[in-house]
Amino acid sequence: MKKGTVWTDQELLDALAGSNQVNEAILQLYQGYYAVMENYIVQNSGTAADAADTIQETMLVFLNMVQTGKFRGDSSINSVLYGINRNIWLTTLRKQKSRANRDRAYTSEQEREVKDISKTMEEMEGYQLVLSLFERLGSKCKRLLHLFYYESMSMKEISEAEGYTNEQVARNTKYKCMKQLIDRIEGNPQLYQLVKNALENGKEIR
Amino acid sequence: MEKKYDDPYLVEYLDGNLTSDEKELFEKELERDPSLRDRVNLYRYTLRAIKSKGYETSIKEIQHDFLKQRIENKDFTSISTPKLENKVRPLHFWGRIAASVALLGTLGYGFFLLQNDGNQLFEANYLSYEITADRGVAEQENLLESLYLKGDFKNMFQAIEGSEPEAYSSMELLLLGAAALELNQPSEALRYLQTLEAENASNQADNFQDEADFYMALAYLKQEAYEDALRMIKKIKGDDQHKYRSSFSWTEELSVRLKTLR
Repeated sequence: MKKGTVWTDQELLDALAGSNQVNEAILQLYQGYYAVMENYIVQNSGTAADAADTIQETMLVFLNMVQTGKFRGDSSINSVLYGINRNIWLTTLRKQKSRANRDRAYTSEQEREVKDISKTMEEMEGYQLVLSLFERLGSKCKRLLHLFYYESMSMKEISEAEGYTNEQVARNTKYKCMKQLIDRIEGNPQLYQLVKNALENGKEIR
Repeated sequence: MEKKYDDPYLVEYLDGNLTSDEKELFEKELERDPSLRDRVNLYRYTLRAIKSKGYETSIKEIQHDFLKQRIENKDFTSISTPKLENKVRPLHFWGRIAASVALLGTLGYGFFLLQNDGNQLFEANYLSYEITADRGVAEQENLLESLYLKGDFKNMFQAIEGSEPEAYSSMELLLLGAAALELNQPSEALRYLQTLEAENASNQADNFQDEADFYMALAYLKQEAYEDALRMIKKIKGDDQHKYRSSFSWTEELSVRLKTLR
């Protein structure tokens, strides 16, 4: 994909769903849509700082929607981003602002709620709970899981970079770390239920 | 659950390590066995959570750079100047002009950086610590947490009067440090945060260490203890995994560095 030009919606979605050009695609989203989303928040009792926080969350939710196949380009990126941004901001207002403010903003927009956005937001709340347990793993475990699942480094590269005796040792350690995390999730009935609910809502197999 | 496929096998499947035949067989079993499907989904969900943490950091950095660039562009205002005579100037004339502009720019920028004192840097970067929403679910809320959540910072210190910092859990030490900063008492904040850091070091743990680093950096800035603040900022920015990695910009780091030279 070419650098320095504006990508089409499809090019952006392909890049976000893959793993090589995710950051470039996110930057394109910032360049193309930040001003519109910021404007919405500033026009609805928010500040520029509120907009920055909300848009950051919006990008994360959108990325998750693309990567989990909940958005495949059925509508424009612009309208979905706008919908997520609005949804997050209204939730923030509900939590923070006075009832009067909240009702005014909420009722005028309510009818345009997008179902998948709420699902993804629920799912991402669950991620935060899982991550609170992830944070309690040892630093070696956290690093190993991050390198493999986020940085997409191979086990060979990880074993060399992190000083494991060989690839198999790194692989076994990764499994043990993962199992430790899963055990902690299962060991917390309330959290486990929340994750299960999120999975139920997502209804995913692949 | 029938252990036809154990957990290591599920992980191999999710990591994409099965052969196409193995994958096909496994997916048939997935269609058939709901408990296996639930388990795979639990693993998959957990992996996504781990990935999302990485993306959160990337997005934060991209946004930081984007906004910085936007501010720089916004600050640029073109000033219309009267037209100069259409006179051919020798090359060294323009060279001198460029050098003078660069010198003035550098001096101006250096002056700007020196103007930022510890308090301004503190104000620019301070964020109240927020207890994550899952605390109520994952763990029972205790007295200090509930006082912190209510913003009742003074009462937190009354509640612990007479006891030593070592008596508290990592979370409580962090909350006490954050509360002391809320009350504008950086040295008190450092007392708790340094205890948390020391306990982590002796237990080889890293409980809330990222948060402790960040709030210690802020407390040092507030105290105008620039060498300590710089040490902490370098630690935060030098760690790819640090939660607060993008909190201090490089100009702020440079500003603190210049303060240490004074």
